[in-house]
Amino acid sequence: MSWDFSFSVRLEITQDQLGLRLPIALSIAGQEIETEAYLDTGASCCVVPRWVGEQLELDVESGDAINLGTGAGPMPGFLHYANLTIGELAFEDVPVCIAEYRGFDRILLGRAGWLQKVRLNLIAYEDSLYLNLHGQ
Amino acid sequence: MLTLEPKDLQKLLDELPDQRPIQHREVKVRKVEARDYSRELKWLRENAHLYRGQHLAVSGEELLAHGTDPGEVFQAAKATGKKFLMDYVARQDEIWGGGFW
Repeated sequence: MSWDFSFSVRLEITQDQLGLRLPIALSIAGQEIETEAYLDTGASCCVVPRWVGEQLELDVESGDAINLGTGAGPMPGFLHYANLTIGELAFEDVPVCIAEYRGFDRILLGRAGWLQKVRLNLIAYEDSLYLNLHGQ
Repeated sequence: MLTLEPKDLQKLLDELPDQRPIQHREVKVRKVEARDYSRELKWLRENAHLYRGQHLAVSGEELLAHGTDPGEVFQAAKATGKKFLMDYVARQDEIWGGGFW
């Protein structure tokens, strides 16, 4: 048995020892940052460093306090909602956890808010990620 | 084994921190014109290794700002008025264990 899939969008990913990265745009409260973000399909939700929230002039601690489980114990953060653009898809009101502590300095693309809405094909060998809206 | 009367059990539950799952908003999706980051990614492929442990702000094939403080890098790049892509270049000894859930 075999399955054939076709995709209309290819994104170039970059890889380092920390993982697979792809360029995204993230906007919160009307301010935007374009940045590379690590794809982390094992994470429940997207995690954003505190400096990003502050540079986007967000009142970081106004979000609901949440604790993310990590291999090193709970990591506190604050829940906010952001607009996330990946390739030609713009997701509005994606829940993101903004890290409370400043030591966390990279953006993780976890599952909540966007992954269930797409078909995604990752070919790390070719530095390629293919993406379509589910149902298209 | 300690057992609690229903009223005591309820009292204990009432005193626990709120652990209800968070009800997220409904996420809406729309199609937009994909942004072209090919020039920034090409520059990063060729040059990022020179800036290990630093945050970079790249616009086209131009490095607008770099340094270890991401906020300062972001502000310096923003001051140029150009659109830019932020990136972090991992140190060679840096390993990410991951494990969020």
